[in-house]
Amino acid sequence: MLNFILRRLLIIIPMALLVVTVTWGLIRMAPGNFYISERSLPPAVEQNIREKYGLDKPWYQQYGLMMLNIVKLDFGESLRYTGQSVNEIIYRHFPYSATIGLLAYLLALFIGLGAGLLAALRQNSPFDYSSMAFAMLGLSVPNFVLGPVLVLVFSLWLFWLPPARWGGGISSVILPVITLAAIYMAYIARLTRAGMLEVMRSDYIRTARAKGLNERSVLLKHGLRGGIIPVVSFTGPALASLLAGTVVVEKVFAIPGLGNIFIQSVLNRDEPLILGIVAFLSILIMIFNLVVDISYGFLDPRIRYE
Amino acid sequence: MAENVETIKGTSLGRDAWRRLLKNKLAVFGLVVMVIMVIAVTLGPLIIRLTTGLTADYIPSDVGSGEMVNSFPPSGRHPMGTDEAGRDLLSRVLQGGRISLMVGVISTFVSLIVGVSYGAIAGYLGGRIDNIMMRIVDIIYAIPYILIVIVLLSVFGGPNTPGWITSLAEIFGGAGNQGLAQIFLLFFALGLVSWLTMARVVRGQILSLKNQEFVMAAKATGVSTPAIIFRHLVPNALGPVIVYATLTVPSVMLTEAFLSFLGIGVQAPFASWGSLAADGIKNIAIYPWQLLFPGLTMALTLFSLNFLGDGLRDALDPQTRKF
Repeated sequence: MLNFILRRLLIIIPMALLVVTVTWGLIRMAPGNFYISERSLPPAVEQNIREKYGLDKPWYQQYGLMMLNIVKLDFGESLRYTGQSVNEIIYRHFPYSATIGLLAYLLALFIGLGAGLLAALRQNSPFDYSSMAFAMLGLSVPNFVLGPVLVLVFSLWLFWLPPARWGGGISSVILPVITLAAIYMAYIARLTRAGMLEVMRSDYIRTARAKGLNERSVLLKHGLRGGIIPVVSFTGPALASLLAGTVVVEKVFAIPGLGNIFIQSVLNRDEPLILGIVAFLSILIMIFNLVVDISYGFLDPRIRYE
Repeated sequence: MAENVETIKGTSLGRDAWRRLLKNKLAVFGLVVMVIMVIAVTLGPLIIRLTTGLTADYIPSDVGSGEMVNSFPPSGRHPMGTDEAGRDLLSRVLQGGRISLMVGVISTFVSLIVGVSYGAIAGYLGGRIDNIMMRIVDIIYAIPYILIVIVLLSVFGGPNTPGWITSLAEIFGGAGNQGLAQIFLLFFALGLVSWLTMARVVRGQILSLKNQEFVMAAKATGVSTPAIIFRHLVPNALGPVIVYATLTVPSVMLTEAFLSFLGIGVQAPFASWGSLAADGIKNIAIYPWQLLFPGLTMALTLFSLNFLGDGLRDALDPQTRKF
């Protein structure tokens, strides 16, 4: 087990470096130069800029230097937000994204698991049909449509909640979190329902019933454990797409999160900031994936780590 | 769809699946909506032009002068209202639907080609090659690809589209068509990131097929390995492939809309549902129809495609039926 964790942790490093390399390669293959703006500069100034960022060196030295800095977790200074290090920017803006993402995923887990479980237990009941139709709706309404519609209804027509702006306490978090959570809620409800239906027909549930366990512990101690495995494996891809979701939600609700900053950095062609955010988020996601893989073992005793 | 039924006649399996699909009301609903939607986006703009003279780009001459409001709510002449510039929103939504559906279908096709070949080769060759190939898939899976797609599109989007994509777009849309080149870039960017699950699905199918007698017979009669993979094995694995492709289309469309919403996907003069919604969100407080109609049309399409995909899965593979 420990061996497995160590090995997986070690794989994360080359993989994160691979992602950074691909991103760096894409940026460098682009025509033009991220460091020198379109305005024509006096040759001396341009020369100074080239020297400052090491652009006068051959590309493999530039690559090596960039990689070395990434390994040291020093992503350098942003080009557009002059005087601010990339680390500072990430440190300042990430908490917004993390708060929304985490709250949204927890909400999705809570409601999705509940609805999926109830739907599976009362299979083919009106609740089952309506909650699954509702889930399909959640899968189909893009979050950039859902968010503005919620704003329209709850902020502009009913005046219940603020339309945007961060910092108004809980009330300013509600709409962004619901917008972000909708699609995961739907996925989790569907996965839970399918997983539970399958597990409740398996032999070990029959055994549990046969040995006289009451229905409650059959369901919660034996059934749920196997039934939510699809939900757990969905967590990995969900986190990756949660990233895309936060980008939209932050844009719709004007939240100064990392997703917003990332899009800005890409549009600004701010190379150090792009690389820093890409490296940071890839490592984060890979660590989460590792945690997910480890948790399988606790849920399903049949899974063994080599 | 009608031709499909003709070609699979005689194989009771196919007719069985078709009958099961027709019994699933939600799947039939999805199928009907999709057929109507495809007809509407192909013929709709033409019909509107012939009946009312409006096109997606037509700006009425009385609009835009002075301080008049140009965006009108839904009316008889403009069933979905007009946009900021006074253009008919229904025409724009239909025109945008062409782009959205095209991106969805062609990107899925790209992912289909890559995913099916990759999965089939890995599954058939087996052993160490299979192991390495699937490890690569595992590794790419863990990469937050959306970050890379965003960087790719913003770096190579606009005037920086690679030459081969521009020339490919020129074949279809004539020279100097920058917007079209951007759409072709989207096909590849989205196709190349959504083949992974397809590769896994196909590999699983091939693994379960490759030890059957008909493969052995093919080998015994000296059929070459590529022919065995693509002529004998892949056609037998098509069921799950079709199901998964049906479900890939909405997810690709969602990603395209997301990118267009951020302003790095489909670019003017072209529009897609995503970029129309992005335009509409700016005026949501005053002209809500500008967001609602493109958004709801897109939601209805995705809803139908998802139901159709689910229905196809239940129909083609009764064993994985979700009870």
